[in-house]
Amino acid sequence: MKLPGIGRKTAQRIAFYLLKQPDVAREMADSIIEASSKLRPCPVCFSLTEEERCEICSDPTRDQSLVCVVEEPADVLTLEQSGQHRGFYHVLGGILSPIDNIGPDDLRVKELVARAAAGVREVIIATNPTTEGEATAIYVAEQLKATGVRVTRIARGLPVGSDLDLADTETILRALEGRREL
Amino acid sequence: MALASISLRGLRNLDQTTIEFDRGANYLFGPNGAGKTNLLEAIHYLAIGRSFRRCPDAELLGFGRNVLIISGSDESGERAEIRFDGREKRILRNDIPVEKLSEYFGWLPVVVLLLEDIELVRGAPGIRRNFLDVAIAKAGPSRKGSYHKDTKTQSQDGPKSEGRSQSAEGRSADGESHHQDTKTQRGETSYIALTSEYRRAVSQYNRLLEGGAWGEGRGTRDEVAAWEEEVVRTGVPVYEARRAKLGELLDCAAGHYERLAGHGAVFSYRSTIEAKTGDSPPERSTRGTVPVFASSAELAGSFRQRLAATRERARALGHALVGPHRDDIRITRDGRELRKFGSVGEQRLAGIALRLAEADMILSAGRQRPVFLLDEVASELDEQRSRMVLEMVEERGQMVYAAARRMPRQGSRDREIEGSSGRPQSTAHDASALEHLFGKEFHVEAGKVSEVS
Repeated sequence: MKLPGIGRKTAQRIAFYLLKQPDVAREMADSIIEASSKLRPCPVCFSLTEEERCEICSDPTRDQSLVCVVEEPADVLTLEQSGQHRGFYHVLGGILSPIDNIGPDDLRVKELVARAAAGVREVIIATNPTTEGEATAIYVAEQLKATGVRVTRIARGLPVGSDLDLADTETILRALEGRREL
Repeated sequence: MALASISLRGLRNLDQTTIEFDRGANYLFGPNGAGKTNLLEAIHYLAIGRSFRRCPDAELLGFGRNVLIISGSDESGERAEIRFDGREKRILRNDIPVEKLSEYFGWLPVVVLLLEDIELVRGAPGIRRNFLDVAIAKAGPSRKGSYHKDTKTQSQDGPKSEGRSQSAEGRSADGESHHQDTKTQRGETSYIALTSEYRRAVSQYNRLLEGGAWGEGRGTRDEVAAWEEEVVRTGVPVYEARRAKLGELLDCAAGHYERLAGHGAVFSYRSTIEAKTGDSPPERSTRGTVPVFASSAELAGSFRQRLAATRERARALGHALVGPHRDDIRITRDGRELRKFGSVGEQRLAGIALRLAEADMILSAGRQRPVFLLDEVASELDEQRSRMVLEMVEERGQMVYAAARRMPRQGSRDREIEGSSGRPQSTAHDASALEHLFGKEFHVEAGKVSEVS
């Protein structure tokens, strides 16, 4: 079994640590089992939740007419940490990638279109600025056209293949300012 | 900046050794199979982190050796080291580990001149595309979408866009250039990143085309359209970056070719985005001419249209037929392609001209003088031409020249005694310049490298 981001040496270190701490190991095992059995996709946004509806979708103070489209549930957490988005989310559950045999039918695009048709003012597409993320954004925007909703894309002001700490403030500013119509 | 010294251990057949180079010319001679090319390879590996033989690292490891260590420093004391233990490659620059090869790439610019360079002219288009992508990458980061902006400023300062003979003479020994691109700043998208993103988009699109059970869920019209749009979005900056640099590259190459061959040839970029179906693309060199597209938007429009026009054929073949990944350099003499109709000699000279132009790009970007690695190149040329090539190389940077025979250095000495026949800077009486030109000689035999005094 391989876990993402954990190499052979780290795996070994974790294994020996857990062997020395049986209590920690048991606690961890229980939480993993609990999480995987209780968490399920929110029927509205497809983020993960233990409840009927996720915390965000059931928050009445949030702007229902603004929907931010992301690839995975983890992206919701990342965006929430920034505290800048006060609307709802929509998790696609992946991105278009013919190489991996992933097409539009594997993503929750139809569900998004249905949501958008019902009282949404703006859809912000926040897929990653990778080739696949961009192609997905283009596809999603095209599907949303019929609903007449305003579609925006988070800007990619930061250079591909470069580090964030190498970017100057102006570039970062542009990235924030430059969200565009699709 | 010249390579001052190199130390190597465990590389192919070469013994552990440290070599101090001359900042001008260095001649390696010795029998075939002695290890001359391996030494050139070691320099290339140290400079770029890869072999010019395009082989896996494991092949560099000498038979029965466990570890390969190549280290060196340039004149300014900048140090680099690469270690490879058969599994892992570790790169250090000034004793600090380097994570990405792209961060390391370019600390010491190198230009390789090999006998195989003839394939640049007569080989498949992919070889030329690869050459031009590497040449642009070596010249340094490119400003995204700068093509249309650059051409505007270029047309204002007239004279430099006039002749290609000027571009050959204009870049002289000190690497002085009018094209200093000092605007290269941090945070710019590098050309390498642009091309790899584009390549990714094309392979996704191709996959969709080839696997296309079209109309059965996969490969619906909108999905194809989305990927086409992505190919256009990533392809436009690649095209623009090429256009921004290629005019200069190809004009320099044409100038070098004319000087070497004694007759002219046209070096032009043939883009599948530009060509309209049925038309043969215009044959002209690019410098000083009006850009083909007035704006990025117009370019994207043309690209989009060409993709749509070739979609059915692309579908049948399973890959995209237009875009920068299908473009080529075309070299013609009197309207006939050198690739098909040129003599071996002409093809060889055109290959050398392209390599010299690659060096000009490095110099013109304001980068340090490159290290030239020459493998037997001059031995296939007549005496006058091989002398010219060596002169042109020496004008542009440091030279490490490998040959079975000891001739070239002799050639330099004769020329110096004769005087300054045709050399731009007359240095015959300057003792230090003389020494610079003579450089150093190394004898390579059975993996042993020894300096000849």
